[in-house]
Amino acid sequence: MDELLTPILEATGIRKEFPGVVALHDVDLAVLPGEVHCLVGQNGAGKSTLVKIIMGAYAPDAGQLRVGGHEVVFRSPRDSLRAGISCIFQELDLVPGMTVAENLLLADLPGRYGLIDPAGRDRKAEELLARVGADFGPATVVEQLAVADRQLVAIAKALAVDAKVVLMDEPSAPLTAKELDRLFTVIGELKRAGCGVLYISHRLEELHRVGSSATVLRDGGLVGTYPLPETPLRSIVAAMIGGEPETASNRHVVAEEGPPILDVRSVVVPQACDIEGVRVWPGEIVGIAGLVGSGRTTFLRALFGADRAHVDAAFDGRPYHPKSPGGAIALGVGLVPEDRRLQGLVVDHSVADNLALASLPRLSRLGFVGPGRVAAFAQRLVAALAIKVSNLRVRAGALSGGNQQRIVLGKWMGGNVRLLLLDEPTRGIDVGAKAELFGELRRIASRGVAMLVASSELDEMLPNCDRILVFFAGRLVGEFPPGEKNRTAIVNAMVTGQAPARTSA
Amino acid sequence: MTAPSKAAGSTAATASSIASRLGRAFLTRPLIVIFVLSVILAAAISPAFLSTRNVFNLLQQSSIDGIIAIGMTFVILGAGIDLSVGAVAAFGGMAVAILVSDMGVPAPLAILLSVSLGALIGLGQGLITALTKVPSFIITLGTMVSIRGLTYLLTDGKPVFGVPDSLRYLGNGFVGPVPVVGIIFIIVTIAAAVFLGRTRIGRYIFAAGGNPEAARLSGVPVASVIAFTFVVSGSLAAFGGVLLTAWLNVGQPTASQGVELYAIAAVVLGGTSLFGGKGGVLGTFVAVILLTILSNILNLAGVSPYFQQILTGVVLVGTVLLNWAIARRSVPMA
Repeated sequence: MDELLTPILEATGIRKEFPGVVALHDVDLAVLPGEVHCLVGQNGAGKSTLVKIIMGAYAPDAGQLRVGGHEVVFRSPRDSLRAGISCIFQELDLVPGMTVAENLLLADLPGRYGLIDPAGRDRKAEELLARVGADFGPATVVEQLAVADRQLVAIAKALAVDAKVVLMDEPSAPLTAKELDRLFTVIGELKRAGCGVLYISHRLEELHRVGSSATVLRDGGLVGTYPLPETPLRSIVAAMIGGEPETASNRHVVAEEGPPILDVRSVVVPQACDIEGVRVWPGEIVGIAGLVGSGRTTFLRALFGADRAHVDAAFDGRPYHPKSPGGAIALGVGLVPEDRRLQGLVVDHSVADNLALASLPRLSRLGFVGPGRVAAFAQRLVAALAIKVSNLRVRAGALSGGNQQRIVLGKWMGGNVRLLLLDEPTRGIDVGAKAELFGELRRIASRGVAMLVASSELDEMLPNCDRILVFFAGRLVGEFPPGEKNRTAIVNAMVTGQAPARTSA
Repeated sequence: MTAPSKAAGSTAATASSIASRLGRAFLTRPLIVIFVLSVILAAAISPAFLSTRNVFNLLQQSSIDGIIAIGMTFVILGAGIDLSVGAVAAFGGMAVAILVSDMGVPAPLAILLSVSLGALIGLGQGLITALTKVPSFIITLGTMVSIRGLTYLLTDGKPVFGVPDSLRYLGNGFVGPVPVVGIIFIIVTIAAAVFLGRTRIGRYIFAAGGNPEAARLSGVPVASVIAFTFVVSGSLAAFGGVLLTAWLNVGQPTASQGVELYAIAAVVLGGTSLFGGKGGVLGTFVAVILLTILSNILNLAGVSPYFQQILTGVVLVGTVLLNWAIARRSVPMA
C-alpha cells in the first residue's frame, strides 16, 4: 500500500444505532485507488450496515465519509451514485425485460431532441461489454442471461457511470469456478482503471486471490485492517471470531447395515438431471458435490416432489413417487431449500408461525390450531436447536442468517422426519455458525435421520460428510469417501466429470 | 392546602400518562385511535350520534358492504384481489329474488342456492388464478363484467319484486333494538376472525399469501388454499347481495356497483397488506364502521355529498400513509 495515495473512499468514526442495538461504532475504512479492499466479518458484525451507509441508504449517527478526499453527505443512494460509488449486489439491479444496452445506459441514454439514438447506444454498450470480456451482444435481453453474465452487465454498468468505487456484495456466491476466474479478471480490469473495489464475501479463500487488504469487523466494531496476501487466512479468521476456529472433524462412519431408508433407482428431469443409483442409510450424512448446473438442486427438489420429475425410488422399502411436497412430508421427508428467504421462510411472519408451518396438520384438532400448542411446540424447538431469539413473536426475517437457517431446519425437527434434504445449508452463514450448524446436523443424524447435503463448499463437506457423491452435468459420476486426501479426485470429478471406478457402496 | 394540590398533581400525572399511552396506542394501532377520535368528534357535533338508534342505524348501514369486505379480506390476505364482488353480489341478490318470487322456492333454500352460486363463481375464478398464476386482477376483472351482464340477462335488466316476509326479515328485522343484518355482520366477522386465526386453513392462507414458495415447500397446498379464499369471497359477496335484496324488498340488477372498490378500501384501511400475509378481518370491521361514521358525521354537519366523496378518499390515503410512516419508523431494515 502506498501511504502517499489519497483514499478514494474513506469512512472515519462511523457510528450507527438502531432502536436497542448499536450496529456500528467507531469504524474506519479506507479504500485506495486501484486496490481491492475486502470487508469481512461474521453475520451481524455490521458489514451490511456499513455498506448501506456507504451507498447512502442509511445516514450514520456519527462519523464522516470522504470520496477522493472531499467530505460527502449522502441523503439517498442517488447521491452516492453521483459521487461515483457503484454497487453490485447479489440481486442485481437490472431490468429483466430490457436489453443489455438499455440497462447499461439506462440513466444516460444517448440521443438527440429527446429521441434515443439506438445505434449510438449499442456502440457505447459494446465498448463497455468488451471491457468486461462479455461474449454476448448489447441487444440480448437481460432475462435470457445466466446469473454470471448478468453480473458482468452490472459491472459494465459501473464502468458506464465512471465509478470511482465499486462495491461488490457477495459477487461470487452464484458463480462456478470458471465464472469466478472471469470475475477476478474483470476485477483486475477495474483495478487497472484506478477504481477502488470494496469486496464483501463469505468465501474467505477468495481474499488471497483477489484482495490487496482486508478490514475485519466484529460485533459492530473495527478489529483491524490487514495487508494481503501477507496476512495468513488463519489470522483473519481469528480476528473475525475473536479466537481460534474450531477445526475438529465432525465425521463418524456409519456401518451400512440393514436396508437403506432411501433407494433411488433413477430420478429423471428432462434436460436437467438423470441420476441413477443413490442409496442413503439412516444416520448417514451424504454430501452432493458439483458445480452450479450439475443437477444438485434439481435432484433434491425432485425427491421432495417440489417439481415435475420422474422419480423411481423406494423410501423405507416402499415405492416412493412424490407428487407434491405434502406427500413427501407425510412420509417423513424434509427439504431445507437453497434460498432461505425466498423458499424457506415467510420472513414477515413470526418465529413460532414459521416453525409450526409444516407441522400444522399435527398441531390441529378438527382443523383448529391451538395457539398454546403452537407456542409450546415452537418453544421446544427453539430450545432444542439453540435458536437465539428474544421471544417467539419476533419476525423471522429479523434474525441472523444462521438463526434463520436453524428455523428452516427446525420446521422438520418437530415431526417424524427420517430423511432431510439440504440444499446449500450454509450459504450466507458466517464461519462460526457454519461449524455449529454441521454439529447440529450430526446430532440430528445420530438419532437415525438420514441426510443428503448439496453444497458448493468442498471445505465443509470433506470433514463433515460420511460419503460424497459427485454430480456432473446432471449425472452421478462418482462416489468418494470423505477426507482431505480425496480432495483432488473430487475436484477433478466435479470439473471434468471423470472419476475413477466407483468405490462400492 | 396540600391535599388539593396533590390531587391536582396526580391528575396531571394521570393526564400525561394517558397522553403517553395514547401516543403508544397511536403508533401500534392508528386505526383504532382515529376511530375513537371520530366517535368523539361525531358525538361533539351532534348529541344524537351516540343515541342507541343512531348507533344501530350505523351498524345496519355498514353491514351488507361490510360482509362483502370480510370476504375480500380473505382474498387479499392470500395476495390476490377480487374485483368481481359487486357483480357477484348483484347476481346473488337477483338469483334469490327470482327463486323466491318467480319460482316459489322457500327462502332458506333460495338463500343457500344463491350463496352456493356465489361460491361456485369464486371457485372457478380461484382455480383459474391459482393454477395458471394469471393475476387475479385480470381474471376477476373479466368475471366482474361477465357476471354483471349475466345478471342483466336474467330479467332483461328489470328488477324483481315480491320478496316474501321471511326473507324481508333478514334485511329489515330487529332483535330488540338490534338490526338482524348487524347481528349477521358481527357473527360473520367473529367467525372469520376465529377461522383465520385458529384453524389450519386460516394459517395456511397467511403463509400462502406471505411467501407462496416457502409455504409450498412446507407442505401447504397453496393452489387449493388460494382457490378457497375466492370461494369465501364469492360466497360472502352473494350473501351480501341476498341481504341487500332482503333489505330493499327488491332484486336489482344494478345493485352494488362499485362495491369492489369500497371493499378493497376498507380492507386496506383496516391494515391488511395488499401484498398478502399480513392483516385480518377485525381491522376490516373497524374500517367499515369508520367509513360509515365519517359519512354520518358529514351528513350531520350538512356537508355536500360531493365533498364527502373527496374527504373519504383523503381519509383512506391518509390512513394508509400513516400506517406506512409508522411501519417505516419502527422497524429497522438491517
